[in-house]
This record gives sequence, C-alpha cells and structure tokens, in this order.
Amino acid sequence: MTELPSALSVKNHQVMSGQDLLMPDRESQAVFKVNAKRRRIKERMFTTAILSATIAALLMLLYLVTSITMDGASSLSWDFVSNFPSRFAAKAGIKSAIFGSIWLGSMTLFFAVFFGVGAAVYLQELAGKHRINSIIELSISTLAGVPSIIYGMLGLAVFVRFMALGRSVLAGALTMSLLVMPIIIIASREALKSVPDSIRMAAFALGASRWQTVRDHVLPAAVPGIATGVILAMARAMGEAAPLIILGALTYVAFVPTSIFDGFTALPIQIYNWTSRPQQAFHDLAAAGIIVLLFFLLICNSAAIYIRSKWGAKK
Amino acid sequence: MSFGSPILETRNLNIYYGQKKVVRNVSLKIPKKTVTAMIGPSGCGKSTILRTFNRMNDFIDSFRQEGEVLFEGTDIYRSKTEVTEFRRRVGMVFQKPNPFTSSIAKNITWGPQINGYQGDLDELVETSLRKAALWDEVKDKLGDSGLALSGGQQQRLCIARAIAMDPEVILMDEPCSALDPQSTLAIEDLIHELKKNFSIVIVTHNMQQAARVSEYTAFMYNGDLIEFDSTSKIFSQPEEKLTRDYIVGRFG
Repeated sequence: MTELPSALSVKNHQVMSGQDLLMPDRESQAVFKVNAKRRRIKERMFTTAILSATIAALLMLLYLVTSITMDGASSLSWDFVSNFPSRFAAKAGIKSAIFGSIWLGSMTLFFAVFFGVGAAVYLQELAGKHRINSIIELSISTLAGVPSIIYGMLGLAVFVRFMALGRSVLAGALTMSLLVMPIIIIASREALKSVPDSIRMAAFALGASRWQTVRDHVLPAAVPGIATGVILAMARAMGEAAPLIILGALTYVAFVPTSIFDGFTALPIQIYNWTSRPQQAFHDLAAAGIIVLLFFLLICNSAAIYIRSKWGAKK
Repeated sequence: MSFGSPILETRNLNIYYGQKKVVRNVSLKIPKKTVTAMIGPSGCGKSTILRTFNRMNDFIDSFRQEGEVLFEGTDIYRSKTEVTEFRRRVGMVFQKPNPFTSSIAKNITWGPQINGYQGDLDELVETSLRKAALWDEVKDKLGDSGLALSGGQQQRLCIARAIAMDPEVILMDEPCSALDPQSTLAIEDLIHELKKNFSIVIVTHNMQQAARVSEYTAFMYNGDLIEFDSTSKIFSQPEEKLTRDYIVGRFG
C-alpha cells in the first residue's frame, strides 16, 4: 500500500495543471451576446399568450355555468330531485335518472377498473416485447379514438342481443366500461411507467416474483396516477348519452333500478329527452338536470384530488 | 494466493449486450466470509459481473452470457432451482439507496415475509437494524417511511433489508457513490463488521475505498479480468503494468 500517497499526489497535480488548460484567459466572454431587452419582451409575450389561453377556457366555462344556472336554477328544488319524470313539466323530476346514473357509474367503475388496470399491469409489467403486444398496444390507442356511438352499437349487438342481457343497467355498464377502458389503460400505463425501476430492482433482489413486486410496491406507488385516469374516465362515462341511446336505455322511467337486470335511464339521456321537447318549461328542466350532472362531475373530480393528495402525502 | 472453496465462481464467463461483448472469458473465485473488491474504469464490466451473481442482468433484454456462474458449486444459470431462491441467498445493495416507500419496519420484513419467513418479525427488524448500525437512530420511528431518512441512513436501511434475508453473500454495487464522506465512513465500518458473517463483493470506483475495506481485489479493464489477488499485493506490487498504472492514477 506504499503507493497510495503517491497516487493521491499525482491526481492532485493533474487537477492543478488542468485548471490552467481549462481557463487560459477570460477573453472568451466576448462571444456571449445577450439582448436582454428582447429576451424580456419575448418572455412577456409568451406569458401573455398562455395566460390568455387559460382565461379563454375559463370564460367559456363561466358562460356555460351562468347560462345554465339562469335557465335551470328556478326549476331546481327538492321536488325536482325526488320526483320521477312526468309529462307535466311542473311535476317532472330526475330521481330515476340520478339513481340510474349512480347504478351505471358504480358498475362501470367496477368493470373498468378491474379490466383496465389489469390490462395495464399486464402490458406494462408482465408482457415482454413480443410483436403481439405492440399490436395490442396500437389497438388500444386506436380504440381510445373510436366514436362513442360505435361502442353503443357494439353493446347492442354483444351484450343486449348476443349475451341476452336485455336493455339492462348491466348491459349499459359493460358498454360504458368498454368505452372508457382505453382511457384507463393508457393513464394507468403512464402511472406505472413513472414508478422508478430502482423499486422493482430492490424487490427482485429480495427474491420477489413479478406479481409480488407489482402488488406490494409498483401498484401502490402508481395509485395517484391511476386514480386520476379512472376519475377522468368516470366523468366521461357519466356524461355520455349516445351509446346508451343506441343501446336502448329508456327515456321515461318511473322506477329506480333494484337489480342489475332492470331497465334504467341516466342523467344525460333525461337531459337529451327534455331538450328535444318543444315546451320552454322542459328546456328549463334540462338546464336544471345539467346542474345536477355538473354537481356529480364535481364530486368525481374532488375525489380524484383527494386521492392524489392523500397518497402523495404518504411518501 | 489460495483460499478454501469459493462461495461464488465464474468460469470462462463471456457476457454480451446485443452484439457487444462486455465481459471476456473471466474466471474468478470469490472467497467466503471476507470482502472482495472489484475495481476498474467505467464500463470495464465489473458491475455487469456483479449482477450475474444474482441474475439481475435477466431484466436487460439484450443480455446474453456464456460460461458458468457457480454459487456454492451450482450453476445458477442452468440450475432447476428458481432464480428467486438464489436471489434470497445472494443479497444486493444498489448504487443509489432505494428503500421502499413503506415504513422502515416494513422495508425489513417484506422480503422475509414473501419468502415464507417463520420467525418473529419484530425481533428480525431489531436484529437486522442493529447489524446495519441503524437501530439507535430509527428505533423510535419504525413506522415512518423509509424515504424520510437521510441518504446514508437509507443506504444502511437497504443493507439491513438485505441482511434480514440472512443471505450468504451481499453484493454491493458502488454503495457509497451517492453518499457524503461521513456516511461513506459509516458504511465502510459496517462492511468491516459484516464480513464476519457474510461474503461481500463490492464494486467501487474509489480505489482508496477498495484498499480500506477489502481483503481481495479484482482489477478489470475493458471486459478483461487483468489481475486478481490479495488487496495488499494489488496495491503494493501488482504483477501487471496496467494494474499499476490504474492504481497510481495514470488513467481511469
């Protein structure tokens, strides 16, 4: 070990002489030319541009909410929420649509999360780099862009007729699950991808299997991102009318579903139904229905923020 | 240089990443219950060899190996035993501390639990943390997240996590390169303690560290094992000129 001190001194010597090589003189500064004024102007222009984009989006939302509120606020009452629909505008309520949407929403949540997150975990964590997997990936991205009405036709053919589920809330939920599954898969895969590999390696080095690693470390770390995707997907499912209309969801329902095989209606369908009536009173009811729907979406998004902050704080 | 039967051994090991050959015909014996350092410039293949000892290279798609890697005489790439079983017996500590986000206690107990540990878990947490010289610092906050600790403490937690599996070997891949000098010293002291019970292989960029902690040193260069001998010999009278040049800091 006698060489050690000399090893150190050689290194130090090289560093000292290296400094001279790196900075022979300070003239090189002349190469930098900063037009500070122009840079500031550009900075301000950019800030203004993106700020106005934000404000424009907010203004549109504000316009929507105020015009809806002005039309619908007068019809909004406890009776409106607790009554079944009626052909008399004054007696018509939205109870069956609210319950239909809750049934539809919670069942869609169940199916879509189970299959969507499952598929994402398989594709991201377990599947190798086979050709077939890249074909599956491409198909999923494509499915995310298919118009919702096509899913309605698929649901009608497969769930309502072939599987003979009828025009039930179950058939509706399965159709909606198909519709939102690509969104959940894509969001979940992104969330899984952002979990650092070092966590997986730590688990594997302890003799863990892939499934143990995913179950106990990767999935929990990805929950905030997955939840965000799920909630966005649920908001989409709550707001969709087209596939349900194709599927044959009922437009006049004077009962609340009591089983998954019951017929149902949903908020967007009820709203659509009212807006297509000629009388002004029904248009106001539709506006009130939209307020109720927005309220549901608000709850969805608050849940997303809550889950994200709760899981984020754990780390 | 001679020692009893080795705990780990490579025979004519060649490793490829795709077309690129990164380790060339390396035959190396790792002795039991002592510290073996692997040194050499970046990209010389020392970490790659380390990762074959617990088959962590399996996660690199382009990885391919020829030759034998023996653990207690069993070829771990050809044995019918599950790879997870080898990983339980050959622990690893990584370059960057990577504790789980869960609690400190859970960091220790997770590995043993998934591997069917039958003993008392609270006791295991305490003994593992004591052996990793971390117990006194964390005994009052075992429920806190592993990420709440300092970098040096995190690395000792990772060592405790490895110890809890009661492995025969602990592989360390530049365990101090992300740590400050004080934490580095703490880890080096710990390594001195651990070699009584475990066979340790440590990859390091820091030659002084290799000289301080190891009994044996392997010098690698460009995929070749240039020289393997007792650390005192490598650092005082290396056989090869290349080793000598590297030790005195002419390159690397």
